[in-house]
Amino acid sequence: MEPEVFDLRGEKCPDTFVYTKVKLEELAYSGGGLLKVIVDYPPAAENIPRSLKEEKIKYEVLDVKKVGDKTYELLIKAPPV
Amino acid sequence: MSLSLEEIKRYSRQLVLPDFGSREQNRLKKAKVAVTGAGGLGCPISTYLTLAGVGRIDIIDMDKLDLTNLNRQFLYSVEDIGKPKAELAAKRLSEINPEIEINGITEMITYDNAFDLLKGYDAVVDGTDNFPVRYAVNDACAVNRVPLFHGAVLMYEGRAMSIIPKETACFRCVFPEAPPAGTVPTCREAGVIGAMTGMVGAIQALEAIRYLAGKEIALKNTLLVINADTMDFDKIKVTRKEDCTACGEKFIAKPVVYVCEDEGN
Repeated sequence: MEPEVFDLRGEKCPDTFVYTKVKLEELAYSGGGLLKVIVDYPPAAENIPRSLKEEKIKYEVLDVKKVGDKTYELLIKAPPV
Repeated sequence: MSLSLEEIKRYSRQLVLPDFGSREQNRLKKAKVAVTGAGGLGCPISTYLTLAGVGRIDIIDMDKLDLTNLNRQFLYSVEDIGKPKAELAAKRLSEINPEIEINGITEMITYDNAFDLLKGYDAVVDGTDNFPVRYAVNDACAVNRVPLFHGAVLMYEGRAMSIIPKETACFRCVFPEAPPAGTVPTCREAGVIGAMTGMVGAIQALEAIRYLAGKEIALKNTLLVINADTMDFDKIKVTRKEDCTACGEKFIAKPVVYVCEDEGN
């Protein structure tokens, strides 16, 4: 399954998390899916997975990859709800 | 229905809550709520509903702004004195959140018109301060089966209760009859400090917001009594009455009539 790409470069915490959360919920409510999130605010690469653990919906962070000086890609799976 | 980036940003500090997300926000967006009164309680109630993103808010109040309102009613300015409060509140709140629809309705709520006036809402949040209107609002919500979020303040005592018709106790289940005219002073006579109405109105708004978002609420079958002298918050368990004239098996119209009515919100 090809992940949907969600480019959040330019955004900071906690907005990076909020945008990701809402996007993942839309995926979860429409049958589940994969999301690739791109951020260039390094703390977000840690904060997004940590905050997702607090959520009722059980998301799976499959990969967190550093792809540039400050840029990270997160691969997250949203289950169907 | 999906949220725009602008909406996600506006509501981001509530969307980060672990038990609150796009589904809950969309429920608020679809909700249609009436706020009865644009006074001491109506200001915090309508403000917090606006900030939270309730999609349609109708504010009903017949009064014009008076200087004596300004110790507690924070949506208004000195230059607004003499203008209808419902419209002032709607205008001010629309400036704060232009994403939602807010209407000011300058009309007196009576036992005769409450049933029509309060029809078709997902919730009514009560900011009235006198018994004839409070009972009219309660009975109308019971008959129309609209959830009602009750609140009242008198001096340093505040009360709040959340009513889900046919499921939980209504105001009349707990207080079947209004006290005789003249035995209970109004806010105007007894006095009220803005922080008190602010606190109670915020509690009502929070209950309504949580209910509309699909969350559990704490004040069902529960009368919260706040004593601000001691800062005691007591929860009194109340029960529904099958023979309640408002929400029981058989509705009996019981308008409360006070001969000398002279009250503001």
